[in-house]
Amino acid sequence: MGKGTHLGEAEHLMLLAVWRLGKNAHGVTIRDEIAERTGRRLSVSAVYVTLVRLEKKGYVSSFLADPTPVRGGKAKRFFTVKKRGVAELEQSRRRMERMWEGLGAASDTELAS
Amino acid sequence: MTGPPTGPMQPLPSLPAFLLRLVLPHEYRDEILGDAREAYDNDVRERGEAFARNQLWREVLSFRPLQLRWEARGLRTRSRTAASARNKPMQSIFGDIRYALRVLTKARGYTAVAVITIALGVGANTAIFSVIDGVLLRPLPYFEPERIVRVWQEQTLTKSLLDRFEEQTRSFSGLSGTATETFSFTGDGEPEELIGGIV
Repeated sequence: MGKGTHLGEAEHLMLLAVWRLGKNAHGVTIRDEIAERTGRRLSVSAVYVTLVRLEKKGYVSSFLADPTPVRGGKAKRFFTVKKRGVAELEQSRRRMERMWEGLGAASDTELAS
Repeated sequence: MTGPPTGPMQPLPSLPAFLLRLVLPHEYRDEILGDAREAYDNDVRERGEAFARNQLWREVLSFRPLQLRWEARGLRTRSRTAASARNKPMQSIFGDIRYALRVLTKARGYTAVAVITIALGVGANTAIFSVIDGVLLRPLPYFEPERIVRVWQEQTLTKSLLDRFEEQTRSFSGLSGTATETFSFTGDGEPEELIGGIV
């Protein structure tokens, strides 16, 4: 796990959302996907901050579509997950699963309040 | 979630749209403004205009657009090796600012106390400096104030003595006298003693 290549929580969520959305992954749909599945409502700029960081790390790529009159002539930037991004997600998942190994549900464990 | 709109979307209110345009990095400005418009339109249809406006202002006033500016700058300079080597100190400063903003946003109580302390400190300093500037530093509101001097004598100075000094002086271009006097101020209520000056 090299420094600067591991995924933060927001990056993790964003990368999964982009992967789930496939060809329809752009700012608003990514934001809605995360809100729907996690209840976390992010601003559009916050979504872009993480996506730009993921692009710098080489985990996603992006392209601008043609502008549409529906959005006042503003184009959509679509994002796609790269192989490297999927590999990092899988590694991250394995790391998490190893950490969870042997731990029961929180309700089964005696914990200090 | 609602489906995509069929007609043109609601335009963004002009002031937040203007501010957003101002702070967003030019590399991503158009697509984010488009996304903001789409999000605003969705919010208006799902939760009403007041909620949508509130969300838009939160977007404008958050530090995310500025953070995006720094992130996008890093992306742009990466391909220019010479420029990126020169820019490293600045990148480090931006990193520090990003870190500071993140920490301050998390510890809101601490941030509020720090901001209030700094505000009080700045206010107190400004008040003290205003007095020092007015009393000690700012020149008197007269022409060539550095030529004004004050002379006095132990005995009482009468008007005729002052006139004589004025006639005989060769060192000063003019003389005038001042005196303090106690006055009684009377009216409808209790009379009051006031100190005044005669020039």
